[in-house]
Amino acid sequence: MMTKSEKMAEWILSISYEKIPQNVIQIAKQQLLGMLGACFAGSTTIGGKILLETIKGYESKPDASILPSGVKTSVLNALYTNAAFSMALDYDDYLCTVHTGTSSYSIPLALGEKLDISGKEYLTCLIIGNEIEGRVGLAVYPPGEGQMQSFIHAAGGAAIAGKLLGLSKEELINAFGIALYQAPLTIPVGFWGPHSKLLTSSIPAKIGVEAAYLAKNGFSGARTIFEDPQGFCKYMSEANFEKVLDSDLGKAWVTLSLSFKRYPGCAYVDSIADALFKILEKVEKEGKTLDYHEIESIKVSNSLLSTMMDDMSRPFTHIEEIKRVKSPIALNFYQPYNIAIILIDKKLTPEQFTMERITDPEVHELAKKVEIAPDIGMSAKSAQIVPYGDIPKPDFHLGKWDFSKWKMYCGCKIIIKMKTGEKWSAKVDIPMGAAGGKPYPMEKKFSQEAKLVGMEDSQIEEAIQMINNLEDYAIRELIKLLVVN
Amino acid sequence: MVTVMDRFQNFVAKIGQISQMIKKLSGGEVPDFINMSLKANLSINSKRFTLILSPTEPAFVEGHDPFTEFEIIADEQFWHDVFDGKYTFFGGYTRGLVEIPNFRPQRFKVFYISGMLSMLQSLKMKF
Repeated sequence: MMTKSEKMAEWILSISYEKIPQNVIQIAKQQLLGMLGACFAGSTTIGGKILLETIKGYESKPDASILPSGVKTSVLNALYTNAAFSMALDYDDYLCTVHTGTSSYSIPLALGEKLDISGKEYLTCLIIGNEIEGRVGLAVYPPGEGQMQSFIHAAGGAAIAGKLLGLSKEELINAFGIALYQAPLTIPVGFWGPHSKLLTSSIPAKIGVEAAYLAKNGFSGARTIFEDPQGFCKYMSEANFEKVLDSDLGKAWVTLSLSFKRYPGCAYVDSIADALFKILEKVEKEGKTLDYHEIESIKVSNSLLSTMMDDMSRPFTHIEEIKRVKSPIALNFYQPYNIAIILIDKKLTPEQFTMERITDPEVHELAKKVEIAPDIGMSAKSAQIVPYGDIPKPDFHLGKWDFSKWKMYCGCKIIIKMKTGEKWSAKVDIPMGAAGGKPYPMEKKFSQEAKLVGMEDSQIEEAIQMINNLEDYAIRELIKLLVVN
Repeated sequence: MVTVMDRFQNFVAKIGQISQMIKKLSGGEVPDFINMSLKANLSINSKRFTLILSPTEPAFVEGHDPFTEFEIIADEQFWHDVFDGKYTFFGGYTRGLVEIPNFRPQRFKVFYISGMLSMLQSLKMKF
């Protein structure tokens, strides 16, 4: 009987650009634009800058580029750093509830530069990363960990590097076995705030790529790493969902369920921002102004998952801790900060996460007026984002879920009560850019963040044009264009 | 004065109601977490209780269940604060106000208890 790794390896070896549907290719290009935007924004953070300086101090072969600086380093260091940048402001995309983007885009970029791959090969590898990592994420239950499911990147690293390095089926099986032998487990307290969170996908992605290199040279790994009674799924998951690992590979494309973030922060922050900007628009239409000094209370209702994520981050959101860790990460999950800063600055961009803004006492004071409560209807809807109850059914296979019609319910309702008694409210079911919501072109995100790092307008336009026609270019041409001097 | 034990009795009495409401709101397709049942051993100021949350037979009884590996250790004031909505049960855990000796395998149950309580509180239910 074929093992899970064997079936996954067979698919990875058989897949090529020509076999991937065009709608999957198009969404992958949007993903690349969005992830590069996240990378540029993350490179401006204190954590990002410390990381770059540290990497520059290593002696390494200059095979690949760190973006947007163009610093040349080894493949492993480049993918590590570019993945960390895109993680820094929680600005990455996600499919179903699995966050594949940070490694799916960065691994083929670094290794592809060294190996001089084509745009078509790059897109194929990005999609391989999503499909393998997405399935590994879905196979592990309970799913509440989201971005903390860092082990997915080890599997993605082995899959992408295995494809690009030309591993045989047996070598790819070994690569999975090596990559998941020490499957990483993130510890929440290191996730909620300090710079360590930047490394969530960097470390496992590197392990995965190293596993492929080792396997190519004959190093062995467990053949049944996923499904063995002493294997990854039995040790990591509280439910037996391993059947999704190789389910409908090449037929059901989890990539189609991608949700894109318009603003830095966890998925539910996008809903909050959409709702608040709706309110601000209403206020303006009525010819009024919303003076935040005159706000009496702000009530937010959203799903249980959103309120619990907020709860998890809360102990790390006070100004003293933010000053200690020199990082805005906890605030990317803390609803009151995002609400307060939007009401004061009237925008939510990486500029709202500089040290000056995140330690501004006025913002934190306004944040105290925010009350969060779970809404029963929104919780019921969000619990159905991924219908896990389907998986144990004997005839279940991933093709039963239509990923092109995925709906990312992580809505919210906001009511702002002014001291005068006047009330303003707005409700959002699915944030803009998320699966099933109003589309938000990633060209806009790319442009915004490319400008932040000093890219010229003409260079931005050229890069967007190149990504949207990546089939006609080599990956080295793209990287050259993404460097800001 | 209302004791914490009375408040727990109130909580388990209302747990069935919320299950029915969510079933209605989700249009028949019931999310997994609604059908979840759990048993927890509670130590409150060195008194021992068992909390059973289930859509059909919720209960709060004296004594520990020797076969239950999920234990929650907290004082009375902690539970009063949770029932008063000062913070959530999970929020109390993240602040280090409650001890759960084997948290990782039990974390989903912690989320469940916390979520159910917050949900009832958001529906203006008092305990």
